Amino acid sequence: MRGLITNIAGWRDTEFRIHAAAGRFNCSWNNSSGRLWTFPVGTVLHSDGVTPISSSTAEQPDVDIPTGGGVVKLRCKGWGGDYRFNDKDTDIRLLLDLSDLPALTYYLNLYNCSNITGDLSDLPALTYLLSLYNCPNITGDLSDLPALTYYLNLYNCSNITGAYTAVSGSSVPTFTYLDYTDMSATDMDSTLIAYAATSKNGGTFSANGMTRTTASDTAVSTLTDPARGWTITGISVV
Amino acid sequence: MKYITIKEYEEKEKNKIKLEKDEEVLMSHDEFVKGGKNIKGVPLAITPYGSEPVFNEEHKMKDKIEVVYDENGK
Repeated sequence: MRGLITNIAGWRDTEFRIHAAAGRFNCSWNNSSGRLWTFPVGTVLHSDGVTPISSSTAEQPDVDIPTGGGVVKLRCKGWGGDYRFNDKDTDIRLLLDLSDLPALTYYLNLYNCSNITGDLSDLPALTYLLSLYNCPNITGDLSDLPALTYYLNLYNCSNITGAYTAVSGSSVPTFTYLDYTDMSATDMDSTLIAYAATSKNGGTFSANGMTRTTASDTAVSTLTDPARGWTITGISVV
Repeated sequence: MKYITIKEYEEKEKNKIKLEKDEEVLMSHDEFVKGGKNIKGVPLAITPYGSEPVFNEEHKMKDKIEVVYDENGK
C-alpha cells in the first residue's frame, strides 16, 4: 500500500501517489470533488515546455515531469462511484504498482503502461472497465479479477495465468481481450464455459495466440449461435 | 487481421501451405458446428453468420478514447 495515506486523521485513501518517469504526464481523473494534483518540483506545462506548474485541479492536467521523475499526488474526496482513471498518453512513464491504486470501483485504463508492476490480486474492486493492454510486468491469476460488466483488455499481459470464471448473469464483459496471455488451453476452456453460462448476448471475445481444447466446443457453439450473437476470434484448438 | 474461408483453408492444407502470421479461418456458427470445430492448430474466427468480426485491432487501440467504450453515455 505504498501509495496511500493511511494515517488516523480521517483522510485514509484520499491521496493517490503516482510514480512517474520524466516526460509527459497527462493522466485523467473525472471526479472533481476535492480533486487536486500536486507535481514534483521542476514540472512544467507540456504545452510550452517552460511554464512551471506545481498543482492543478483539472480533470486532465498536461505536464512534463522533470528529469529524474517524481511522484505526482492526486487528492480527492472519494474514489468510489462511476469515475474513471485513465493514463491517457502517460504510457511507459507511469511507474506505479497496482498496490498503489486507491479504491477505484468503476473504470481503470492503463493502456500501454508497460512499466507498471503488480499482481491482479492488488487491483481494486472494479465493476465496469479494466484495460492493462500491453502491461507484461503484471502477474497474477485471472481468478482474482472481479466480474466486469463492459470491457476487459489484458492483451499481451504475458504473465497472467488462470481462468476468468467470476462471471454470471449479465456481469460479464461485453468486450474481452485475452490475447497473448499465459492462459493454458484448459484455462481458456473454463473461461469460455463460464461465459457461455452467462445471459449476455452480442459480446466479443478475442484471444489471439491462445489455445483451447474440444472441451469448450459446446461453449463456443452456444456463444456464437445467432441467438447469443458472440464473436470469438484468435483461438486455436489443440 | 486477414480472414480466409474454410474452403480457402482446405485448399492451403491440400497444398501444404501454412497460414500467414495474421491469417485466421473465418466461419459462421453453422459452419463451426458442421465441421469447422474439427479444424485444429490454426486460429479461428467464429461469428454468428460468418461475417468478418466488427471489432479489430483498431478497436483495441481506441480504448484511449473513452467515448468509444461508453455504452451508457456516462
